[in-house]
Amino acid sequence: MTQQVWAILDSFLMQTAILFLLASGFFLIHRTANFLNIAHPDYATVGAYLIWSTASLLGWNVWIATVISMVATGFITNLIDRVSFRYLRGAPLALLLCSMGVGLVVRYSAFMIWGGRFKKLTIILPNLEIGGIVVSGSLLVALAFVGLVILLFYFILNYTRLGISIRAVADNPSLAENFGIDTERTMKFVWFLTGCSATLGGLVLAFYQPLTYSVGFRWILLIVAVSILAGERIKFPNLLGACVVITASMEIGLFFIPEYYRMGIGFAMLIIAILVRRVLQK
Amino acid sequence: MTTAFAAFILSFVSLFLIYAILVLALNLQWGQAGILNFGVVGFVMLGAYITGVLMIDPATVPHVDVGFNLPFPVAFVIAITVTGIIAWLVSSIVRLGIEELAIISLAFAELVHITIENETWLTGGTRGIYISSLLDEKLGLLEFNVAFAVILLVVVLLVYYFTRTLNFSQFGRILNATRQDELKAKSLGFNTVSYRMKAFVIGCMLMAVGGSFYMYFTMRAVPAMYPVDMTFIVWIALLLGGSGNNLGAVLGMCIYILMDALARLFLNIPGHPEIAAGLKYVIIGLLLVAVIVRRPEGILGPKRSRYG
Repeated sequence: MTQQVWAILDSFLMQTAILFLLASGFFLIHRTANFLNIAHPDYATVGAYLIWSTASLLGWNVWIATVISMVATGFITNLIDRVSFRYLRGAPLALLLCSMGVGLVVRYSAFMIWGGRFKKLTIILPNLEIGGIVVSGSLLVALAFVGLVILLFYFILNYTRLGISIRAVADNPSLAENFGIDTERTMKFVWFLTGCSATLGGLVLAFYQPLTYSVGFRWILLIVAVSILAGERIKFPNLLGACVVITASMEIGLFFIPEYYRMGIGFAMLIIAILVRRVLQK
Repeated sequence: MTTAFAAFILSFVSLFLIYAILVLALNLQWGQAGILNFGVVGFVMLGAYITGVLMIDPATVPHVDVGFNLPFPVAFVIAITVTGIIAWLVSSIVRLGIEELAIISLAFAELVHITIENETWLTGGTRGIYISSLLDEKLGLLEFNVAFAVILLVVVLLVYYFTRTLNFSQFGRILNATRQDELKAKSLGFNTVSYRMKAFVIGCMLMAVGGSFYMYFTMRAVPAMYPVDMTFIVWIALLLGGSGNNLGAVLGMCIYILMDALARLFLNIPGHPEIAAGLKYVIIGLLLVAVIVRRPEGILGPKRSRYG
């Protein structure tokens, strides 16, 4: 009995962790640059592929590979911002449209570089046994990352100059600029953080599913739903709460609806998130 | 010139004309009303499959349980109406917050795709459905293609005229005002949400017109015929040609179709199918970004009425 309950709980926790890590960067961009970056999950895919290349192909230590890939993805996201999004600041619809194009470029560049075959990231992690139930190492790592991201963002946003300027830019970009905050430098930092967190999301996603070029993109609906539900302020515990709610209702929905309509549940979740947000705003 | 080659060219022209309908419909939504519709392919599929299911003769397609064997005009009208109702439902759920509708339409298209792939009893699943066309039975291959291209040309001209009239009418001017400054339009007493919803529904119905004719023209439908890139193709054509300008939209589609044909002829890298397949999307994406960043008004630029 405990085994069965744990099996459900295990998949629930894992999905929540993945969703949170994938959504954190998206959420940050949604609130600071004020647009829905559809290309975001593709950054996670690229990050995961980079880890796979350095760890499985070159044979480096996984954690070193992860850190290097995080930095690399951070630079890639910055590069993309430099050549595309930077010119469209403050125009959310044009940015959304642009991110659609960026998403296509990133996704299919990954397809061209790494091919269409499934890749498996093999990492041996020790399992933990508590009172008869086996907690898998990948779940522990995922939860540790979630905690790390929440703490790190809490620290950055509250106790560093750059973090405070991020909040200022999110609230009112032109006012922040008038007060002497270098908004472009802040945005560079935001995009860097976005790339880093996306890579963590990609790594945890690679524990859960085999890697393909579209592995991240399938999560986009839930990511948007979570980010809308999490509210206007940049508060990552709120985001985690939204992830828990969405994943739980998703799991409950899957009891009644066949697995191949997973997308349908995501669709319903998205609509509910939007409606709930509307009601809360009033 | 052989008959087969002429038929091939004509079928290409017909495909272009169907895409022209879609791009005109999207121009109404994005160019006039400023609605982001990322689910073009979903509404096209709805139009096509509803037409198909209504026209199908259950005796000829064993793996489908339902079929109504209706003539094309009846099926066409029902398909357009039903798509309109569904589009209205989709847009009324969120009262048309534009960003939200963009994501919802993206999800909706995917949902339509999944439903059609899985409900084999209705849509034939991945095996698809087949219909017989009255034109096909009476005419030869070449005549069929000529007749079809002519019919489509007439339809495109009608749609062109219709959207043009709409754009320059009071309705179009209010849409323009809504897109440019919603608050101002509201303060003049117009229910902007209702106007935008009307534009969305009309656009989706026009997309269903394209889908319905596509079904009748190809006489079969499988989900693979409606890939997601249909949406991107229509978008890139519209942005390239000039959003807000019907002529520009059609011109953009013309350019895209020619580019696609050239790419198919010359872009063959032996031994690396992945590169050729991926490169197409990368180029579409790069074009999309480049147009939005560098020349948001497109080649021809917007054409408005004197007042807007």
